[in-house]
Amino acid sequence: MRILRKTLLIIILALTAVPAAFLIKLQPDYHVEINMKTGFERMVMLKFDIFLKTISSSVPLDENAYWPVVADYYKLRYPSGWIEAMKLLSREDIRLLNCPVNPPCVKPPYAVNEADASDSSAFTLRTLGVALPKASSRLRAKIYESKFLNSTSTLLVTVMNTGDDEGVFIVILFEKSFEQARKVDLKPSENASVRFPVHVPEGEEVVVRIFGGGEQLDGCKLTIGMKKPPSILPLVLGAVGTIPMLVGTLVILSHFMGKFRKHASLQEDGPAPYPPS
Amino acid sequence: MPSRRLTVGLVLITAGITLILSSLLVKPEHPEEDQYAALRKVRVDYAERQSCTYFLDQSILLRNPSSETVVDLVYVWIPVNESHQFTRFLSSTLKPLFMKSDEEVAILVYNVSLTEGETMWLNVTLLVTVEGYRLLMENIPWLNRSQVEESTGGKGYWAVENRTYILVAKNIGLDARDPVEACRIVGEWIRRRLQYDEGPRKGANHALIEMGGELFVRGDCEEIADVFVTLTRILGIRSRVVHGLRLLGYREGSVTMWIKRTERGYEYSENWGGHAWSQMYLPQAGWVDFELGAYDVRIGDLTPYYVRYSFEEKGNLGSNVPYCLTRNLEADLLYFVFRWVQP
Repeated sequence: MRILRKTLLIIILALTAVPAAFLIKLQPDYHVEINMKTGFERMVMLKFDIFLKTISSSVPLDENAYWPVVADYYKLRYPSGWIEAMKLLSREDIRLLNCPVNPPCVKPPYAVNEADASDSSAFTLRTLGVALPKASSRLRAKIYESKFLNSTSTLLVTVMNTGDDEGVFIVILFEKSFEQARKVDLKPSENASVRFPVHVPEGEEVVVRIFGGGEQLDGCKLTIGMKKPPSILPLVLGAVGTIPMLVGTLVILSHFMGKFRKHASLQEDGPAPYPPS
Repeated sequence: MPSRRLTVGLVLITAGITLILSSLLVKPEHPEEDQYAALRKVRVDYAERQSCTYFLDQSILLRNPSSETVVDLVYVWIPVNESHQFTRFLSSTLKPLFMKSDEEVAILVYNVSLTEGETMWLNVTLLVTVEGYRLLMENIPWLNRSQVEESTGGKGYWAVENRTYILVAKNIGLDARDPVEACRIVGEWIRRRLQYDEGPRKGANHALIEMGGELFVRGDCEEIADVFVTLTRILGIRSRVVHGLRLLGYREGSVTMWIKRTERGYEYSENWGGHAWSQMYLPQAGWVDFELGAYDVRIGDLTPYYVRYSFEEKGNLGSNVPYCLTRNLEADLLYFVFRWVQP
């Protein structure tokens, strides 16, 4: 049973980088056989169903063509072991177009020694009239609070799982120069705070988003710090100072004008006549 | 009264001039410059770099234990090339069939034929340059979403879905401002809870034990590395385990260490330096070594006496580096002789 578990794990790792998300179903007639027709000892033969959607190394070529890559982890890590033969059976509506191997010099499908075995094989599959289901996420979360700390060089984001399922959420800070992501596992109604170093200068805008199950669940925009408006005090002082200066000038002018007018009228009238005796 | 008017005018002018002059004296405020620009700048600088070059002789005593002639492939692990290490193959007693190398490992493959009970020494000579370094890192950003999703999952030895580890990571690491700080916190947490116990690799799931309501990490360098990788990956940091040799017991410009296969198992030289430690990936700095000292946590601070033989990130097979692997032959004795090349 131990060898079976280990072998299954290797098969899973050959197909996905996320073993926990991988779906594999052993067929009831799976068996471990020793001394198969090739004569090798310790040979393990397994029959299993793989759910195409869960192969993380699968590259969608177009709407209904996929390219799952199968890496031989036996060969990668323990070179004296390798996947000797692979047989692919699929539903009628899935057709194998080709199977390039890496390196090209190897001789699949039956490799009798390590040098003949491929490091990885890529299957080009066309799924006729079959649409792979889009995973639907039931995860829900909200950005509860976002605030800048440490002289706006740090952003603290508090998020809350508002759904009914526990899950892994990814909080992302989008800056001009970097996209930063933090992973956080939250139970229903649980909240948690994560911090990010901020790299853009004050006045710039950043975006915070939270993702769960591959979907964006919430987002917000923030501006770092507040730009101070230019001060109007010098302008006010200048304006206020100009008014009394102008008024004062007018007053002085009126004073001198009055004095001048009086002086002129005295000259025009000549000397005052003597009173009649 | 004219003189009164003059006085009022002069007072008004004086007041006006005073206000205008004071408006000139008030420093006009421009939009504030970012006073904290230094707190936002990503900094990755080498505070120290010191290279050591070694001639490395790896000698393997091979034996055919069977009663017939055996032709077998012999796999010999050699130090792997990476940003702080460079290995050059110089010679070997047999011509290698080919070399297998990728980002994680470098292996020389030989075709060896031995008659019944025959033994032979396979000697490989390499030139290895290892750079010791100390990095100064500030304001390092976290990885982006695709890197987090693709490169921080679990593997056989890294229990990222273990509830206890998730809780520990949340309690100690979520508050960290940057990935370097998170790694330091994780390292300190492991250091304070470490119960050193040498033994075969258990993996992170079996390294964590509870005693008197407290958690402890029990194990040796491999468990430290596995627990570090588990906790940092839960926190969204790309990390991996390194297997290699630590050069101990320097004598007259060289270090010699060996492994001997006996009926009771393996025997090691007193200065055997088989070691495991971890690395974290930062796009701005590349792979950065993490090593737990007796009293401190060292991140991006490693001497040139650590020789890297394999990285474990994508694969999860093999609890350590076997250094030599054969199918039907036996490797009875392995010698590693590091001779310093004078600068």
